[in-house]
Amino acid sequence: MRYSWGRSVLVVVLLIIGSQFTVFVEAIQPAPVEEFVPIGELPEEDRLPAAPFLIAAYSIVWILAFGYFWMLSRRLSAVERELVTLTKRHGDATGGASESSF
Amino acid sequence: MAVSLVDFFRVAWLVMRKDVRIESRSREVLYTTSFFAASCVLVFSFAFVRAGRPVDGAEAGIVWVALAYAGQLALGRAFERELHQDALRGLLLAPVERAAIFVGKLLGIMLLMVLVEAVVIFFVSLFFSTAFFEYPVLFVGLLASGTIGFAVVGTLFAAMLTRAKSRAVLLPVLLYPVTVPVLIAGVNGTLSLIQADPNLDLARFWLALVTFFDVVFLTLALWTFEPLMTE
Amino acid sequence: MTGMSRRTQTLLIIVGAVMFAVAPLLIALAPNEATMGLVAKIVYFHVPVWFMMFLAVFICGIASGVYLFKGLPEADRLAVSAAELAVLFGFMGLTTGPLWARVSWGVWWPWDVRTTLALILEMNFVAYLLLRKYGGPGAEKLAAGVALFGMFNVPFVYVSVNVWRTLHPETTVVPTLPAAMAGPFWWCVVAYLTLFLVMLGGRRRLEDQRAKLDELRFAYEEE
Repeated sequence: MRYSWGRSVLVVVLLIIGSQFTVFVEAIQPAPVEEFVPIGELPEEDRLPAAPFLIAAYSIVWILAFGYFWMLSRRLSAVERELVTLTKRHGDATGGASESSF
Repeated sequence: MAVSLVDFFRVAWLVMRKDVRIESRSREVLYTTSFFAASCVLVFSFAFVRAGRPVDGAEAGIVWVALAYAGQLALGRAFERELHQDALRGLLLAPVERAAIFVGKLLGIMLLMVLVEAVVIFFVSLFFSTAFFEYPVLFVGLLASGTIGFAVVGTLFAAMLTRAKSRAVLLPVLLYPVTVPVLIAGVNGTLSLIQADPNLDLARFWLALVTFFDVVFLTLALWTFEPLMTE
Repeated sequence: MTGMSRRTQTLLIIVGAVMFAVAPLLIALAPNEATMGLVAKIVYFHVPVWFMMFLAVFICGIASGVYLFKGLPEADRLAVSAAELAVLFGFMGLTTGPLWARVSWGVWWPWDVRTTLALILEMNFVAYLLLRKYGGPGAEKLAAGVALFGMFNVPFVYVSVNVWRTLHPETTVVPTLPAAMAGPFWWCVVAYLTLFLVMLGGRRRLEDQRAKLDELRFAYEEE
């Protein structure tokens, strides 16, 4: 595009100014009001047991991470299998599933 | 081929005039959208009125949400028109600066939104006896910049979705997350103007934020309109 | 796991080992945080997960920009991979966050800046994926526009939600990290970064192979 360079620079400059804007915001905000009490100051009876939540959180992250990996590898093997069959069927020497770098 | 600024705005004006002319014949989009906006206000009134009085600050929220919904509806309808007889492609094939076409469409949408806004504010003032125009300059400024911000993002997304599948449901899905700052600023700016103890500094801050949003996203939209509309 | 290169497999094993070694280390050795107690241990992976989501958002945004203006298909493949990871890590953050908030502050959703920003970004990139899936042909370019807009929107959402929130009672007090906790914390960040890079590489490879498959299919159809 003819003047895309100028536009790109303009956008980047505006963005940088925009991010600096956040600094000025801090100065004019009204002071926050404390409403919630940190858990350290709560009496024992009011506290929720932390362990189940902690374990739940850990489990979620692990399940999601490994679930994603599993799904990914399944899809990948399916695609690569199909690549192999396709190239074999047409007896093409140049194509085919290469396992090299990713 | 160098494009002068005059040519650019001439093209934008022509596109806008075309849209306004088509719309003024049937006024379908204007009437139906305005009526939809009024119904929105009514529905929200039932949700937010307790014992005959609105929940504190509900008026500001109702105005902007009704505007957001009605605006999104109008956007979808306005671009649907371009599908008939491949009008959009015809427009894009014209030997003019494409960004000018975008601006023309944007101006048309903004005009429509302003008219719908008038309807919404009328009904909210009527139902809740709200004094919106106590600080008219700030309030109108807020409305104007909020409309521009919403319209800029909306026009771009609606235009790029014209030829996509599932465009009717995808437009709101795409539009709302991106226009969140406009909505937050609009609602809170309006609130700071109509509340019992108006906070003008805060209103000015929100106005500044939305204006900044408008500048950045208008630039972004002009920049990306061409590649997004090219097949 | 079949289908991945030798290098990916090795990296995966290393990452798995690192993470596995870290978890009991954290739980046993790190001190309990003074104001929040045991549940603050969630921070060790909640924050790194948020970092990764943020990283993914910016990778997707920049790659989308490159794809939109240069038309490089590799950029598009990187963008979609990054978007999926943004949604994945975002989901991890949005589930662990409320779990932490419920115990520490009694509410599931604290309406603080970072959580709300994360939610909006998550919605933006879910919208990206929906557009790619249901938008029909040519939707990749449109989605690139959405990703670009989402990325540029980050400062605006942050500022607007931040100012909006400070008008309401302060609900979260995130403590500064004392020295004893910093070590395990940064270890976790590195571990998650490795995890992220491995996932990104794997997902890109999937896209590359799919593209290759499409090319081959197309080439053979012409015969």
